[in-house]
Amino acid sequence: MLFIRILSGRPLPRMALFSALALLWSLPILRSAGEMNDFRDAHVLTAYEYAAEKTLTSFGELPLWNPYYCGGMYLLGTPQSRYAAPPFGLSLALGAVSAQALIAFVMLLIGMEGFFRYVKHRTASALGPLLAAPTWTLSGFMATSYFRGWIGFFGFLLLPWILHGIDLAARGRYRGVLLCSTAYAFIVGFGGTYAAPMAALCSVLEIARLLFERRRSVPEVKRLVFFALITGLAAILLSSFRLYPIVETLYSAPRVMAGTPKNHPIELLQMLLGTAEPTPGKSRSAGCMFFGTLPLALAFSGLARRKGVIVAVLVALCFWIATGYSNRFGLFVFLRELPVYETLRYPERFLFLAVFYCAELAAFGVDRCLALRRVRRYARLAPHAAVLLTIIAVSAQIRNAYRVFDKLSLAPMPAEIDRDFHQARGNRWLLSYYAPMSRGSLSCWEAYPVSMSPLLKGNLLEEEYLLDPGKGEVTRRHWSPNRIDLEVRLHEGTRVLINQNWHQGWRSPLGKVVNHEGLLAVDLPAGEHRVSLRFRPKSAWVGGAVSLLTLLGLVWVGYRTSRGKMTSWKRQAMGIFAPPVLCGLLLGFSIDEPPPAPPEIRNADGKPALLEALPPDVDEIHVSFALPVRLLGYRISERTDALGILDVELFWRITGQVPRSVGVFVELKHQDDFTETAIHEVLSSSLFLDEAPRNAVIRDSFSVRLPDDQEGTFEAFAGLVHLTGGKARVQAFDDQGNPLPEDRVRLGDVTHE
Amino acid sequence: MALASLIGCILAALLLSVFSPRRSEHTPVDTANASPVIRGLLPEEQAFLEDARITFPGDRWSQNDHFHHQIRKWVRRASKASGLSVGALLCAIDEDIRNHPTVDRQSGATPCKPRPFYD
Repeated sequence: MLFIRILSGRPLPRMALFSALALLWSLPILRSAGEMNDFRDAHVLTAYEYAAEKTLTSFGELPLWNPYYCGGMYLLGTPQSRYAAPPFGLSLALGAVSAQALIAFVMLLIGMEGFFRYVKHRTASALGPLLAAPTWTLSGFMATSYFRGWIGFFGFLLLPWILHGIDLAARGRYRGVLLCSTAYAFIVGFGGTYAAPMAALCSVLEIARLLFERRRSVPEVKRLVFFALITGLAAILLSSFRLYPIVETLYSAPRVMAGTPKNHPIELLQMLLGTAEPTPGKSRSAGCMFFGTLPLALAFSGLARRKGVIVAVLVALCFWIATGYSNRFGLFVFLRELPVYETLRYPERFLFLAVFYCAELAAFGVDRCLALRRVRRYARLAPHAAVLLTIIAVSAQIRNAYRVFDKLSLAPMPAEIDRDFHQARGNRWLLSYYAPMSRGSLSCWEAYPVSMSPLLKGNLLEEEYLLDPGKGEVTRRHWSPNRIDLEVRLHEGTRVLINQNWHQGWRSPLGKVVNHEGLLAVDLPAGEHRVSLRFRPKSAWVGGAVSLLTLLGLVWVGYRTSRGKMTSWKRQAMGIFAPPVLCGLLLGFSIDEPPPAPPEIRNADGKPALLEALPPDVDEIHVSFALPVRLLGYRISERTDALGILDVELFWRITGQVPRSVGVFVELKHQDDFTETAIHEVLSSSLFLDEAPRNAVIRDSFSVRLPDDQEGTFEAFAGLVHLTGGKARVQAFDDQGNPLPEDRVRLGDVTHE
Repeated sequence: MALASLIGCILAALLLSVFSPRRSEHTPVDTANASPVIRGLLPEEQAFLEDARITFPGDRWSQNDHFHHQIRKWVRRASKASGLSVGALLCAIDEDIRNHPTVDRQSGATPCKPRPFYD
């Protein structure tokens, strides 16, 4: 026990213990670092890191544009890219693929130390946080994340540093502001698409907890509120180098996340307590968050402390969020109403936060064992039992991780071919093969609708060509991800097309850069021209400058306050925020750049969703509902095609607020009473009814496939339905205001053969 | 001793990463061997497209994504059967598409439009 106390009291022995545990956990993946993770998500996420690495090492350019995917995309603005964070240094040193295991090892070490420091301030001894730290960090979620190639999810391990920073700031320790905001910027730079909003939520909960603890002291509450505000603002400004590009990207391509994901509490317990049993290349939900029963036992004993009750409430809250839409009063339902959180879809990920707070409770449990030991003779061995339980628990977690890693789907590293770049048809399921062979993949998957030109081609012999080939010729002189130099000879002015997506950050000192149906293009007059296209997006420079100045401001103010100067809160705030805000505004207004393309709202079949008026060949009807929605018309095929597919178009107008829970149904009733029903809650695959533009004509285009064994004539109907509760239909009325039978409108007959 | 242990663990992790056995594909400079193999893909692509249309009626991006998923399975099977690397086969497919631009091989772009729900 003395040995354990020494470990917990001094940083170096403690870090040595944590590093040994992290090494033990990472052994299998470190040994296989020379192979590539072949899981589908790993291909895309690793390809981003590889593109950034290749741009810097092979071309000597900042990784801003990624030509290797989706016809070209803004890499800094891609939320899931993770290169804008310190671990990128390891990718540069070892290669994007080989560095992943080492990054996992380093992040585990950071996570354990962070957890220790965060919880240490709340426990009577250091033993509890020392034992609890690995139980959180080494729990199943990190193994599952590595299995799927979600290296950015290791950013979750920075959460305790954020909360520790908030705690320090609440105590008037200025370095807490720097710590919290730096850790947050790290998460954002590291591709924290879930880690960032979830850490923000935990920060709010932490501030609420601190306010509750200090509620009797007005000066302390005031100080806490002030430091919470400057910490929050500092975190946002320090993350600008990524947030600005991401916000700009998602403005043009907003993510729509529908569905009502739900998890039964028993399923969640299976995730926490069951062991992982993946198959090669496929992980299951059971055991994906493996925590184990032994740490839970310690956590229960932590409830005896008054502070433990508050933490137990936090555990319950996170567990409740993890149930998703299991019931209409789920916290996740409420969370999805908020901006940013409306795009989240896996509520079970909040279990990792529940595990975090459970581990904190386990630390309290160890405290309880130490306290009991002092007053009860029978509890003399309680701390020893706690240590033993932790050793067994952590061993189980490491074994669980080994079970997961054993089923990693690994492939040889792709070969590199240095040759002229071309776009290719590609394949996003095998994406990692393309950039190394100097090819871009037009086959594209991302979690948001990447802006892609329909004119992109994967079979060109020349990537740069004239709109009118008879007017001259174009030759490529230089190509790199952020720079394309062309020699153009024209006997008449025309447009040069480049087989990549347009982005407002592309510039040319010669001619005019234009958006040609989503394609990058340059208008040039007649003559001989040496055109040099450069990718220099304003958001990168402005965001970068704001982040840099915020960091300098934080460091400078921290230095001044440590010297006893700049004690006024107002002066501190001015010192941190004035330079970056002013500089950001100045650069923002002085750098000339076209605005980002507005979002193009299209149906899944590619047809535009928003229309000025009803098309003339559409069957017009006037159906109203007991909600501010009107069905203006429809178009439906008279018969299914050779594959049994029926195309349907409904034309809507929304004139007021519609509950989120309302969707559209189409019913196909067979002459023999068989009914095929299709329901969707998102119009045009793009718009919730409650977010649809008011008074526009909305084309909702979709298809239904009828079963092969049900030939004959179907009657087609459509209407609106509530998707939750009793799933009742919304009352429908004809143009005279009479209720329609069964609250549905008849569209016509369809023949299916 | 603690410092030595810490440095030792970090060094061990670094060395394991650096010196872990590397499995690399051979540089597929010679796609001549892969070309006869990938010729078997073209007739299958029509079946893949039809299957995609049935699985995701009316959803162009999902059809395209499903099509590529089928191609991935085909390439893996072909790689196992022929002993050629996945990279070599993909390289050969790319060359075949580029050398025969008039043949419809789905080589245009289908703008990314992920489905708004997965549950």
